[in-house]
Amino acid sequence: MTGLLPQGFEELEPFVEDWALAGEAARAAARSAASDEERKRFYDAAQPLMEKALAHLDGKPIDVLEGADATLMRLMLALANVYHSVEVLGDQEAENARMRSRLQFTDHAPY
Amino acid sequence: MAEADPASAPASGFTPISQEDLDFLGTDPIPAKAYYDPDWYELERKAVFLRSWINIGHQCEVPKAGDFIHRQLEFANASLLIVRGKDGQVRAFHNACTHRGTRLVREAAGHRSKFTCPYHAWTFGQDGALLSAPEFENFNTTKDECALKHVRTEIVAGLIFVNLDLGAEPLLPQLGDFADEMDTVPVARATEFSEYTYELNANWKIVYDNFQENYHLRFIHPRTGAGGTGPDNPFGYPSRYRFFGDHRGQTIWFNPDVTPRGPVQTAGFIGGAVSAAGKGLMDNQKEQEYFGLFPTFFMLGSPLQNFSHVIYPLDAGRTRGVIRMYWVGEAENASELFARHAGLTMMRDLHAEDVDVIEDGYSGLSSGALEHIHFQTQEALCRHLYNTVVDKVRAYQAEA
Repeated sequence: MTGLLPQGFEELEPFVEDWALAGEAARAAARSAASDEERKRFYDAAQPLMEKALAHLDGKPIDVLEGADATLMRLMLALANVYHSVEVLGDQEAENARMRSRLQFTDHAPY
Repeated sequence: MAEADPASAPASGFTPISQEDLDFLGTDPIPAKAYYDPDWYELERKAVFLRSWINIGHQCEVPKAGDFIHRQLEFANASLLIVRGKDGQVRAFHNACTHRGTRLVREAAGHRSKFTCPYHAWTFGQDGALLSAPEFENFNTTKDECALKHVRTEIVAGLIFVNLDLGAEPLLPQLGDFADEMDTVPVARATEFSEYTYELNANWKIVYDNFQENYHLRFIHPRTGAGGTGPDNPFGYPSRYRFFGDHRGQTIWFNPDVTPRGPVQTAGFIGGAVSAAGKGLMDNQKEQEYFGLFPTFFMLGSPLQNFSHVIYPLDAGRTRGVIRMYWVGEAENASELFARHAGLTMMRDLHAEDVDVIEDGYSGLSSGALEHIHFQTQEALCRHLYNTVVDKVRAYQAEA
């Protein structure tokens, strides 16, 4: 597997299929559908690379991200979803997932 | 205006608002029936919802002439067409052809120079005027009489409000200090937003009341609401309540020393602050103000989290809600986009925690088990909403 993500982010490639999704609604659904272990595995891999990834992406015009850069952006936005399960909710995640399924995103943004 | 606490919010430390400051609202128990009875809801529908200013969107949704949005107001069984005209004005009309009532548009939003009815091709301009109608000479009416039915609109802080009562008092003069203050928060300059919606099995007042008291904060939001509590204010109570006629507000206290719970939340906070500062938004001194506009709009005007929440009753026991986080400009870079989404996640998760208690509250009350409910000092805004609704219903009944 090469080229899915920009150079230096290869170790995140196994997460692309499940997490690099377009649209907040899709990412939120993936977060809720994942198991605790899956969320933790993604968080533990992506969080240490967050600063580096955002620094890489900040150097590019946000409205025309393409290919590997757009995929990396989506992975980071999935992290901006999953972090709340791991860092804040903890063992309240399952209850929260049940109730938050009642609050549905209507997507506008390109990512 | 009645000011519950004449002193401005303290810079540090915390003094809860005392009951004496709120005695003017009364202290009696509240009849429970108002929170579930279909007959009472029918009175509210006529006395409140068909006569009040209702937020249905933001002017950033119709930036150019010919841009339109289409919104349903279930409580009125109305379909509204909101259009920006060539003169820049935003107008609202009933989405009903004046020939035989057919819906002019079915899509939620779009852009058109004219609105042509699909049934018999009556064609209306962006200002609602009837421009042409096939064989119009065979009708016994005039084009002036056949303009689209106008609905009043008013824009406050960029937000579009409509009122189905053509004789209603304008909104802005009712708002007291809110009028200027709302103009200083990001929503007034917003160009885009993120949105989530819900439908809950509860009376509209039960839903709205949940979001205007912090008594439940420590029980329902112990983790997500941690930033709203601290050693000085362990229960996270507001530092001020304000009342402007039908409308009400509170100054939300937050802990300046709150510790983020992890590295991503930290990055979200920092990214949000950098972004807000870059747009000049951190200068805003009303960053913790809650603006509650009667009957069912509220907004928290923080530069980092400027969200609005609007509640639309569907019937006595069902409510639709729309929550938006408003953004000024497109995200300029990945860090800003990341921070916006981290904040959005936090907000939705926090709101999700209220779902069960709102629906269970309605479930308990609608059984008829209770004759009364009780509001404490720190549920003063709930009491003010009830008082205001009763005033409207009594005034309506007096007219009849």
